Amino acid sequence: MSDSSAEIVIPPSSISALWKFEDWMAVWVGALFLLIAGLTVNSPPQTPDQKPVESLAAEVSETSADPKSAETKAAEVIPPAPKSAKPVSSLKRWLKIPGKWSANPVDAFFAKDRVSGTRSSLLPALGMTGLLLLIPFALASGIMGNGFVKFIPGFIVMWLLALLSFVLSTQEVINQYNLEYVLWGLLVGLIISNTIGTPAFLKPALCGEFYIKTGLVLLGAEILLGRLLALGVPGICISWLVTPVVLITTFIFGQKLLKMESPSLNMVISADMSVCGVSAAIATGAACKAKKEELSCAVGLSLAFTALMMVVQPIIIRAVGMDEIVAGAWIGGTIDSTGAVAAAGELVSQRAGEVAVVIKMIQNVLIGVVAFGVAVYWTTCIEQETKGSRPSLMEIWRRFPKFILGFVAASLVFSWMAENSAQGAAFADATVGVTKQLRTWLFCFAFVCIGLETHFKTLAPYFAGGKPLVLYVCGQSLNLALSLLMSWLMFGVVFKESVGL
Amino acid sequence: MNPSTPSAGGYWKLLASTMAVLVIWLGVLPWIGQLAPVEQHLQTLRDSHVDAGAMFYSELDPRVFPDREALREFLHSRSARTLTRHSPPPSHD
Repeated sequence: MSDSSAEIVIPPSSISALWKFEDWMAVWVGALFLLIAGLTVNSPPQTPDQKPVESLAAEVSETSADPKSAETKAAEVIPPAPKSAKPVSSLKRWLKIPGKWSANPVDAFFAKDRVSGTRSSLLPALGMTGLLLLIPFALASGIMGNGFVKFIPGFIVMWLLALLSFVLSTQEVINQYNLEYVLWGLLVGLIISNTIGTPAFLKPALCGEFYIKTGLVLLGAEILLGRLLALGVPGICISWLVTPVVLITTFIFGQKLLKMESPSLNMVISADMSVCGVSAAIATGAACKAKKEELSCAVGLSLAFTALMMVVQPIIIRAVGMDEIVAGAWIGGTIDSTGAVAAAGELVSQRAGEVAVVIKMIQNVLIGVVAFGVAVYWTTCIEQETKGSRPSLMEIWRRFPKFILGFVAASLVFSWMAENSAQGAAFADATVGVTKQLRTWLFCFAFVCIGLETHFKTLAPYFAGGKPLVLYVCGQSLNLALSLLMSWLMFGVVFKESVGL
Repeated sequence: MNPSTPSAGGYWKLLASTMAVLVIWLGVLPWIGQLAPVEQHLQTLRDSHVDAGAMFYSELDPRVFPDREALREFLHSRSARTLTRHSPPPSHD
């Protein structure tokens, strides 16, 4: 995130910006991770005597007049494919985050095999994850002129702090309330910076914005645009219609009525509340160059209300006897965080949970569109207002956050792969299975950095006057009302027959 | 950021904060987790393969998503009344 006192950083227009400017470097490092993950994806092993379905179908069809039934018979002949038949990256077993634990934190460092029940240590994989992240980032730091060797000790300590943050977040009681690792990363950093102060040797590795931008390029690969249509017309109406309306209305409300001093804080809160919580806050915060304190404020608000809503909303739904499909759509459209949506939906019923996660998945995918739109709006309108004169196209290009291009490109490439063929979809799944772990670590690093660079005194003004809280509450109230109306209209009236209500 | 030399008071504050974290995470939270309603809720989430801490849909267990075909039927056919699991749209695992 932007430094609280820094001006907007405009990259140099020379060709050296491609390797000296953090935005471009984030694109290259993200692309490198995606490339490595893609290259390590192995095709499923095929035993020598195993024949493909088509050839077996041909054999069966010799005695059958109907080729379709032959294929069905052939499918019956072939034993079910083993789990390893799915393409998988050989890197996957080396990229981990600590597991869940209930009473003993040491359990977080062991994985339990579901079949045999044996426990294996996660420490080698956790160390390998750290190493795989260290090398490209240390190299990038060296190339950008911030030092290669100086980066390493700071990074190692930050890796340890991120590990601690994960262990705090994976305690089962904490986890069930969706109090995500970013919150504990922030807390760990804040405790250090506000007690003994952040040691100077950590400074070269404290590049939270760089971790966020790289993580967002990786997140782009998880945004598969085909899933925007997962629920057809009802999904479009609930997610595509309500989400932008709430986002824009809340932003205008914050600017015009609440007169928020910072439009970027207004935008980050509006986006995390209307789209999908922390991930939307991170993406839009980077797109509108929000300050790190603004991101912390928005994430704190979002997680607090998520924990509250995931308990209260199912109680209200049960109390009023709301239909489970309408309830699922309402939960999916309103609770910020994805995991919380799944948990709250499940509290209502299995079916409600399924509808809720699909609605939330569509909103998750929408953050690609929202982040791109916010970046364009900020570069062409908000920064123009600050500057006072109309910028040229070249100026707009220079100000545009370039990592957004990597984010959008990753999304388009992986969406194309996933929609093009079943093999492409399997390949995309296997690649993303690796990069999502790296992305998780990068976001955790980013919030540890934000904590280490933030003093409580600098956070206080962002909560002063309670405007962020008022904005969130008003925006969320509108979101609750509109989502309920649209869920009822779509699943309770228009498509009532088709969903068997 | 405050890179100045830490004071003794700073170390005491760090120690106190660490102790508070240890007491909460090693004492209070495990105790809450053992309370019958909480334990039951946690078991329900485990049985349903729900990771309540997921930030993005790709972090959820694919089993929490409805089957793609069943979903299509569910939306387009008047006779579809049930959703099955186990063949989800996002299978990033």
